[in-house]
Amino acid sequence: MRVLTCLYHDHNLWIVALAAVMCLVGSLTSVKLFQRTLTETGTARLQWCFLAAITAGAAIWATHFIAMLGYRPGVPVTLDGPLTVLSALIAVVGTAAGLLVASSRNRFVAVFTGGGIIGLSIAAMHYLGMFAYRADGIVSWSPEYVVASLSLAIILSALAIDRVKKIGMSQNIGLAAGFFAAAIIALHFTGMAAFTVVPLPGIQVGVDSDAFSALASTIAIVAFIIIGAGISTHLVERRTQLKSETQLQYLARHDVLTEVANRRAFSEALQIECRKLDRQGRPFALLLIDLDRFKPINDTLGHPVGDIVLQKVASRLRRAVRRGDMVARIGGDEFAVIGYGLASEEEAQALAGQIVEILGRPYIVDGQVAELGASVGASLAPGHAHDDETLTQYADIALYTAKRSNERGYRLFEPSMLEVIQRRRFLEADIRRACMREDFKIAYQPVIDSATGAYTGAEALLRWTCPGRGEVDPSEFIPIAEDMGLISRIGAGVLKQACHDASSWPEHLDLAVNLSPVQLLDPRLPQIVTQALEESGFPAARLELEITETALLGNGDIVMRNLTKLRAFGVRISLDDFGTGYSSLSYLHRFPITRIKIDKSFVQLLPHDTGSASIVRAIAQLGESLQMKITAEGIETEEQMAFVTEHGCDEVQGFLIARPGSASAIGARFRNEKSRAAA
Amino acid sequence: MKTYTADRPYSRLLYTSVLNAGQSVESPEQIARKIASTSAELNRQADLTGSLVFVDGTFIQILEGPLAEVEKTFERICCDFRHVDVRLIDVVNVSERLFADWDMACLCEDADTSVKLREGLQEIRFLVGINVSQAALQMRGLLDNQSVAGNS
Repeated sequence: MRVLTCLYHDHNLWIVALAAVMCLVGSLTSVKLFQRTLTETGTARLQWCFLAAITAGAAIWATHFIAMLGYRPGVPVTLDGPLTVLSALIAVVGTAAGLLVASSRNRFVAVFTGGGIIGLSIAAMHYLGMFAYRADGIVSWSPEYVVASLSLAIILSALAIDRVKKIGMSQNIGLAAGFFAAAIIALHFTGMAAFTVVPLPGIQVGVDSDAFSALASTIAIVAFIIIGAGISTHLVERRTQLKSETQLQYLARHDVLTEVANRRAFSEALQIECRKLDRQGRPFALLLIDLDRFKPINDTLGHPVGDIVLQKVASRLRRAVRRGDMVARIGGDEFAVIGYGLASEEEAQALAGQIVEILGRPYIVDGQVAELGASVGASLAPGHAHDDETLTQYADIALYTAKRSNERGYRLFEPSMLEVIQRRRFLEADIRRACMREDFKIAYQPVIDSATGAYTGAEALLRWTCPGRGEVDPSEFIPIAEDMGLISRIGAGVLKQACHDASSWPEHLDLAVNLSPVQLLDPRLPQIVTQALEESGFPAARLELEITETALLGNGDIVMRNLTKLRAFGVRISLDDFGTGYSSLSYLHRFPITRIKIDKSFVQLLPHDTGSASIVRAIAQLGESLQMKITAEGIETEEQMAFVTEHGCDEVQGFLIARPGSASAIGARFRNEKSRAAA
Repeated sequence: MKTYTADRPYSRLLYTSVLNAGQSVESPEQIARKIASTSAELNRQADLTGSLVFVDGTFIQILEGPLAEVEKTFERICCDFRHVDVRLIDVVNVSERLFADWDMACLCEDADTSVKLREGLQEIRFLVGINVSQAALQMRGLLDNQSVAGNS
């Protein structure tokens, strides 16, 4: 009761209200800084503690002095300077100590000891401040109010610390600040209730010293400045934190090299868009983009050039898409685009076409030219699927189809692609099984001398009859076996078997076996060949290995080493399917090739197609001038036979001469001829 | 690798492309002349010179100047969908500019083109495929003839 009476009778309520506002603002700032102090560790904790203590001390001190300005003791008053300063120091140091203790892990110690120290420092500041307050009258203190004020300050401070510890870094600091402000205000006014001053008789009543007012106002202003600094420190720090958070967030969602969205941001955007489909139904297209021939650029021009090319690819992609579409880099040389609002196949195709066009244009980096292409696979939502996984899978299948097809470019997903993929998956399983069971068979197609008509040998051809699907064309299963990495194993088996079969043939007959480009890149090839020869006893000089032009394109060094070794054994090398690939004359010069085989696609158009006729003539002349043997494949008619013989092809093979037959059939055929010749 | 050398401070680039007029209402020649004048403006700022031939819907353009600027400009052209079928024919280091007097000379074939100029342009188009430096010289020759004809 006395507290309220004292407050009402002895104070100017406007100034008291100002003190309360000061106290509340100061408390809010202090608690904010307490929070930081308690969550920091090490030196940072000390720094924040210092700042928090200065602010809290200033708040306590200022609240006290502003309230004292509003106090009307009815007697003249002066202020002791040194004691006033000391009281401020006590507030700051005491709060600092309390805060340090409050950061202890032990909850009891933190709340009671920490809170206690802070409460006591508020009290110490107040009572020291009161000693500095020199009233010209008879001063008396009532101990029960002093004790009450101390208890209130300690309990409320402990509550404030408890609350700060509970809320962690949350924004909900109102209650904690309230406790702290309550501690300061309760102590002050309970303390003031304990204090009475009776004017000395004869001294003029109610006149405050001007000096006191001036000093108190100055103190209040300084305290405001300190608290203001505390607030702005907090705000500045938060802004920097927000900025670095934004920066971190940018980094987390963007590809560092190309500055387009990264895989994570892309997946999120795709998921969000799929979820929106159900509610708003806005269609979109998903495009997956894969660069062709990018790896060679990295390998030959170096990674720095490759990186710049990727940057240019990203910037061109951004040009190719429409405003608002998302471009993302989702892998080394893989990009993705989400075309928002794209509903029709035509629109999606137009966008994909644009991307293929712009990415296929030349790149110049530091004066060096890089040529690459892009394949695009696209799927549409909701046309093809509603969920991100299926959409991605479909776009992937479309991309795979685009990459496989001869004319590179873009493909829109079609359900029929699923069947192709499915068939391939089953084929893969069957091929793997066939490989384990050695289900592959060899058929031999005889080759004859075009001049005499006598057999000169046979070409071994891989055949596979799959249980359940019948005979599978080699052009279908060999590429798959190559992709599966099984071709070297299958090829080695064929070589071994063929050498074994041919070893029973008459001695003037040769054996030709095809090598896949993958085998040609295998450093073990020479060893595999010698082993097959040794085991079967078949002479190297009668073996001819057929390679394709594409095999020579890749890694020239390894291929050259393999071919040179094979030639050294006496094995001959022929260039198969000549005319269909790159047909560069430089290959014929560089590699140790002894024979050219004209592809059957030309032979089959003979003799009426003038283009094919001149190609066959040109190849035959080339062979003559380079002293290479020429074989024409795929002879089916007498006319073709006559044409190639006339134009100088040394040997021929084809259905006209004989269809491929089994090992036993070919063996019988060769023996018959020999006996006929002998007869 | 083509290295930058003191005696060959410039790069000269020649590319061909086909005009994609799209839905534009302007005639192909108008578009080509517009491209040439915009290009001249940008080249002035980038210290580039060159010439643009437009014949039978095909652009044959030469850009010469510091390598970095040539690269930047070519990349911009590659991002421009008014061009399709962009083919980079040649990029070499050269000791001096061939078109030093032109920000972007324009040799466009249109209704008023003289038979002689038309033949000259056709020849350049043919030459590009087999002898690039000859094609560049031919362009320069046509420009010189034109300015003589214009002055007389």
